[in-house]
Amino acid sequence: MEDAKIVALYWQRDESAIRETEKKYDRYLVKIAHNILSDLEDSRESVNDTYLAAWNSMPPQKPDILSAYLAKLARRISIDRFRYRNRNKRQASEYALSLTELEDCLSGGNTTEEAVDGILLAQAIGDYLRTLPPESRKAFIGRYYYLDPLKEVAAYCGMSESKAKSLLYRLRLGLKDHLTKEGYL
Amino acid sequence: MNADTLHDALTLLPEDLVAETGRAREHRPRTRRWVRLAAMAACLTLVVFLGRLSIELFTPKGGAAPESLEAMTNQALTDQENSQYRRGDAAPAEVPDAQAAPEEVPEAGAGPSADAVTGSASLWLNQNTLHFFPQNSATAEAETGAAASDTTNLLTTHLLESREALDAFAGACLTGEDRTAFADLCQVYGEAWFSEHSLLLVRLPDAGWTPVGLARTDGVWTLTLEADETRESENPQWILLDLTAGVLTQADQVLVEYTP
Repeated sequence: MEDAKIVALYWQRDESAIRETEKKYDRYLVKIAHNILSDLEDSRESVNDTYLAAWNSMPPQKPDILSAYLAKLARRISIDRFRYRNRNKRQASEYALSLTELEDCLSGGNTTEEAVDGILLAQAIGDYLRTLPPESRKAFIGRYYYLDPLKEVAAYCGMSESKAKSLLYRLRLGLKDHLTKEGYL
Repeated sequence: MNADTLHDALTLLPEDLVAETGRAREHRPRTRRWVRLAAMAACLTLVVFLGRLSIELFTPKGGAAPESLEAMTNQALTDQENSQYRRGDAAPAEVPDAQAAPEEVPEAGAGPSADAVTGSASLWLNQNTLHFFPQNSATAEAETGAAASDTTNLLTTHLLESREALDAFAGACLTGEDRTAFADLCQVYGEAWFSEHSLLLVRLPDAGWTPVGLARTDGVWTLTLEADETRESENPQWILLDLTAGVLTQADQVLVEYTP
């Protein structure tokens, strides 16, 4: 079923919207959740919470790109679950690894910029990503948004793992420079 | 700001950027199916080849099952096209290789005749020729000198392990219609055939013998021949033995037993 029809079902408060969403995007969402949580059971629960969040948010939300909207929900819910689960311990996961890697583009200590509105920061990151070639942009978003393993990122970007690794390193430094210029760091 | 803050901001990235990568993730390049199938086929071929190679390398020389050799022999000999050679109608006038009889075998003598061949005889391989020397013939020792120069009465055997060797044999030993008939007979033995088989040509001084067994015991091959009812002592007989490649080598000894 087309995304627009599924969104319409949500707006009609038709429960088949969730079934159609699950039919079309379940695997996609489980993958996103699993990249963050590294646990299938937790991932399933996150995805179920995602369906519920979609049901509760539409309306009033009417996303143009349903897949990206659902990915955003799944990502946020999975990260929240990860933080809750790992409040006292850090487990190895792609999310935890990416936290370490993203330290490259951050300042050393806590600053007042921590209070910067997330939406503005997201806009700044988006502006930086739009300056990049498509393959670089896909690599960055694939690695740090979808949290795909480096091997998979390299595969769907059509490059070797080592090249993807060095590319991501340069992108992180570039993002740091960009955020510094924008006054976030 | 810490990495968690950055991740929270990433969650809020514009959807068009997220969707762009999402499409790339869905349409990631996959290895084409035929490439994978071809790779699997190549691997399978390699495994089969290596398996066959290892079997051939590690199988003792001459260690093939006698039953299969016998069956192959019988099959070759029941071929109607072979009949004129088995009957000896077009046997070669001379067999040059037979003159190279080994010096260490002093009993060289006349071949089996219709009345004399009732015992056994040994064949020694010298190059690609097997020479027959009757061990129990009372006249053999006395006729050694004469027999050495009269190759028509010698039983000879040529072990041919390639198509080139077969052609060379035909060119050296056969003439005229005999060569043409022999070439027709041997058309079935191509290069591919010789990759798995050897051809043993046995020339008996007289016709009317049918091989009934070929077996290997303690490194000695025993070829058992049985007399036909229509034996003809005047003409030589050619027998074609179809063997698995490598089961009989230049180093093997062959014992021929005649049963009247």
